[in-house]
Amino acid sequence: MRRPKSLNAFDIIASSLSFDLSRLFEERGERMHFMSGALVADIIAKLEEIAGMVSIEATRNGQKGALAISSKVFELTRELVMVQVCKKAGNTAEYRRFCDNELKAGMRGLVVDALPPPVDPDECC
Amino acid sequence: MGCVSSKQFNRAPQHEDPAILAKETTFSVSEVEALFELFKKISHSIFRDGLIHKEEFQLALFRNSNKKNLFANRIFDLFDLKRNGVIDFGEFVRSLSIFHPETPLGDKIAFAFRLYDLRGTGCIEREELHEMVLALLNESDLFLSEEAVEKIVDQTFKQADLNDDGKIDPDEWKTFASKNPALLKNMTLPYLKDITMVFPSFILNSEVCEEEL
Repeated sequence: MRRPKSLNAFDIIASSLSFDLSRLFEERGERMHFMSGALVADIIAKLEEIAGMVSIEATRNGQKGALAISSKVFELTRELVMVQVCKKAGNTAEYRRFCDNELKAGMRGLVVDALPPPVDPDECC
Repeated sequence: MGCVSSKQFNRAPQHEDPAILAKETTFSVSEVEALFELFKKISHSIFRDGLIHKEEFQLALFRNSNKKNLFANRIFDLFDLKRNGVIDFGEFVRSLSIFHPETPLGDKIAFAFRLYDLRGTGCIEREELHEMVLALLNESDLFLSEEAVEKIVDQTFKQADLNDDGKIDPDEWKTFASKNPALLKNMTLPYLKDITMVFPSFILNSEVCEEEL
């Protein structure tokens, strides 16, 4: 599997939504990020499972046409990746419901969302 | 709002002539006129004085006029060329011009450098980068341990700080940004190419999609 693109600190900063002036022009971009220490392959497999399709760009028919999301995985450090999920098409409310219900619940096991328990220092360096 | 004639500009002499702004920026005259529609919307949202105040800027970005944010502050400060605490139309157009897809990369690189040079020392110091990463994490639902932040900042400095003096000077930044053009993605708003379609020009009265407002 291809190694995910490596991000540096400026990449992370540039992805800040508050740096995103396009918000001056349009509805807030529907995008979310989360961190994971899991293997990229596991993350992708989980996303696919959640979205119910075989490819990374998953679509599902909702009330106002197909809901399409796309996902990108970026490498932050050797142990940590950042996953970005965007809405590509479909109803925004439905996308948000999908994120709040299926996506977050499904990704829970893979997401870093709290202080990890104390670990041997520099074990992963 | 309906049709507005270009007489509008004569009634408000404090706004710069669109022809001049078009000449000095990447925008065309009709694009400048379309930007005026956006400017009016933002600059009248709280204080009806035709100038964008910090609260109005925050309202436009975050739908919350009180939301304070490091990055929004930096952008506001850089847009406020005259440093008088407000953004007038000329400053608005000139600054947004940097974000136009057709603006030379060099201009974007220079603007980004000033944006990230938080204390205006002429260099991006390690502490400034650290502060910005923390600010980003605070505003989002992301979490990183302090060690992870340190590691990411370290890795970045290793790549960018070529003479290893603990800060990134403008030349190092230019080199670094040229090698990693993706990190300038927030310096381009593709939307600006279509601005005349979203904000109707003075002559035409086009239908604006509700979702875009």
